[in-house]
Amino acid sequence: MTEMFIQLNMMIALQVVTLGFIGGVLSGFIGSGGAFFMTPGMMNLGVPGVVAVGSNITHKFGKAMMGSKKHGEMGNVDRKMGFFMLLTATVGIRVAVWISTVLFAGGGDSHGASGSGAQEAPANLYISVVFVSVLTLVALSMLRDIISSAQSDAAGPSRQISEYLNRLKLPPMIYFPTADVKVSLWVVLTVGLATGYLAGTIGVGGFIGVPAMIYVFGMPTAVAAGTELYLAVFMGAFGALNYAYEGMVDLRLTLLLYLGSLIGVYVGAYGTKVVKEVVIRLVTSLIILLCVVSRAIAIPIYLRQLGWVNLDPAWDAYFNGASKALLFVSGISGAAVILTAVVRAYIQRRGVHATLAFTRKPAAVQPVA
Amino acid sequence: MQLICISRGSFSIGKAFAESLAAKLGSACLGREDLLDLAAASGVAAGKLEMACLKSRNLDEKMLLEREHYQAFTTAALCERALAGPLVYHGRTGHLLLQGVPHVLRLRVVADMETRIKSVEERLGIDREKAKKYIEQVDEDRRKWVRTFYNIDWDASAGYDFTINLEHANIGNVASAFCGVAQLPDFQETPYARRMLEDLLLASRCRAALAKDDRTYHARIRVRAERGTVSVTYLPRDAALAEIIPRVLERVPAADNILCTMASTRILWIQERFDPKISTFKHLLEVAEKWDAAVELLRLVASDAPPLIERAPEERVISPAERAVTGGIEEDEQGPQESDAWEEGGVAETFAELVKAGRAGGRVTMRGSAKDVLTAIDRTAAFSLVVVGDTFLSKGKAARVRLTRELGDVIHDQLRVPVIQAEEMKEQYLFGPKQLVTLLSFLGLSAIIYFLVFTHQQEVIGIMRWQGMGWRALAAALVVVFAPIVAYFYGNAAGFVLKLIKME
Repeated sequence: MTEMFIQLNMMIALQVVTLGFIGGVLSGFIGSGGAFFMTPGMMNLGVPGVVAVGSNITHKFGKAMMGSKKHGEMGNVDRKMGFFMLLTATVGIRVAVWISTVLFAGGGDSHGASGSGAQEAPANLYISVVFVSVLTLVALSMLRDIISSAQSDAAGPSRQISEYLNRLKLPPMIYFPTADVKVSLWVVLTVGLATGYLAGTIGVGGFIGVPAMIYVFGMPTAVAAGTELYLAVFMGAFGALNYAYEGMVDLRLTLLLYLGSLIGVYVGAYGTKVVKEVVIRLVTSLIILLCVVSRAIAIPIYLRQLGWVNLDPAWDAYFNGASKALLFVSGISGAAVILTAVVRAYIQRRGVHATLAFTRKPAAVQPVA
Repeated sequence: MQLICISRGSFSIGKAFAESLAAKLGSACLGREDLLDLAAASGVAAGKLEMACLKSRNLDEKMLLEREHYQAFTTAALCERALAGPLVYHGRTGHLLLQGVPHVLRLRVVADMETRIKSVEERLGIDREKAKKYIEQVDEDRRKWVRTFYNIDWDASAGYDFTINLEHANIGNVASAFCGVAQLPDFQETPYARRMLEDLLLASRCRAALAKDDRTYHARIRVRAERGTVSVTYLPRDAALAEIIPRVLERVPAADNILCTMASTRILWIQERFDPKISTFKHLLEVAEKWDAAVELLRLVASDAPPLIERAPEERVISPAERAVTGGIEEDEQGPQESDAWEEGGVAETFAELVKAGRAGGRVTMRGSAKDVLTAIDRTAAFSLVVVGDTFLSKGKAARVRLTRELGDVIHDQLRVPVIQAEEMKEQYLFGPKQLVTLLSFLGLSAIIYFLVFTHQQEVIGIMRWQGMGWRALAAALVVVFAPIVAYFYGNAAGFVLKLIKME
């Protein structure tokens, strides 16, 4: 049986903590869980894809519990919406875990599979392909919306899909009181299924759930974020249960991720105060795109391991190195942009009198303090 | 002087009622369309804003700015007309533009669906089904607009003084009846009410001036005004505007003092009497420093509170019986001392301290009950915290505690922001000895857990390798229980550390 749990030395541990910190900063900044960075990052360190997803979803569970309490106090959680989405999200997670487990178990028998890492190659390839496809769509739509809103006076991202679905009004329509929206049950269940499936496959659920709640359901942003976090608690718990049952959760990695992420998230959240919304969206989409390219670079490794392409095994190290370097460059650059904005705003703030008082004189207004 | 705001639904003959009432009262009559024209002439994209509100409650940055500009221009226009003489306004929610003005008579005119359907059929020449769908769509659009703008239900009757159904009554007769209502002392302008209007006019004119200037057009700015003192709050990302804002506002008449505060968010502090020497002020200032927040003062004087100062000898003493009949009009005759004095309540002194500390976000004084407070608070303002201090001082201790808690509950339910009592602030938001003990405990527990896990890695990995359904289920349960426990201890420890270094 292949080694599912990597040997941890100080260097690798520090890298995992760094992954957690950068993921936390991005998570606090963007509002997602940060898994789009942490999951591929762990895979770059040699963690099998299924263990990376399982450990991250366990980490997400604990982190979401901490965050959802605050949102709940502020009345930003639509529990009714959360309940309905969870009905199918659990199905989505179960399907995702089943697929990943089957691929992982079947990897030893993969036709033509060769070399170390052959067992996890099918699962790694599957996770990477889903990651690349879904997040490419997300990043490109964000970039397209940024460009189109800069070029025209169109108010906000394109709502063609949501408007189409709203016109359909597929019964039964359900009213959600906290969010104050009426949505077709089928749409809610479908979004729940997609969110659960993606969370269970690549550990990323927020990128579907939150935009869907805002643009498809028409929920206020704060309620969408709060409800998603509430949902993440249960999805995280269910995902953690499933992956842990299959023996695919490395608690050491989860704890190391906590060390970084639970601090990073505060820094990232602070960054949203000092950076304009359009810059947040631009930085987010660019980081996601770089993460996507980073993951795509690693795909040839898995194709070779499966025997689907004929490559020199020595090249694995270069592919992995390039993938890892690009991922860390994107994450560190993103975190650096955020931290620079935070520091610059802090310095600027100190250089400006926080309250300037002016009293009108007959000719002009003169400063008095 | 009357100020009547009529909220009319589509095809509800509300406009005809408004015009009839205005004619009988000898008041000016102003409609929403007039305000829209004024806003459009000032460059506000009212049409785009309306479309954006209909599509989603989540307005983007551009539309949020447009909304601020729209509100500024329309509020200024409405206040100007209201100060010029008696006014009847008809539209959607004009009374919400005049938040905090106490003498506004808020009427809602409704008509039964059949009347409205017939009206649409005649006007638009469409059949009954289409007319019904049209009305439902228009009503839904209006609800969305009001919800997006003001975060309230447009047709909730609790938001109006009277709801009028004209199904069985003649418009002229009902208008005549309401002439009497409009004359009631409760809806007459007092010096206090006039001052609220003037303050609102000044604030909206200042905001409109900032919207018109190219240098400040793009900035998200909040403006409050009180007796010639204009408090402007802007975001840190617009720090470069600190010197520009006063230059723009110097053109606005009556803006005598301009206070510009840079802040990322706002904290609302509600008290009946303010004092910069009390511990609440110190704690609040500390929290405001950490959060980079501007502090807004709201002085709430209970509506049945007695006058707060001694009367000057030459003033007429008013008996309680007289006060009950006249509803307070005699306050006009008492001269400026009482209204100035009861409006002070330590506000000026506390505000001056906030200015010194660089945290001044504006101030307002109002007289009323817990639910009246909501009319003075901008529901769309982004408050991070509301602190309720000592209010209802004229009541007994038990009643005071109950009413203060109710006030907090009402604000929390309506505004969905954290609301705390003043005495809870230190424990919840500041770092003291109790928090230090908790921090050390959480840090210690976290350190023990991490030490045990990383010195027993093989055993931890071994749990994941358990075989057999029962053992695997147990392993899964252990993971699901253990992970959040670690997140709780370490997460709280991290939170306390950040609170300690004033970064949260």
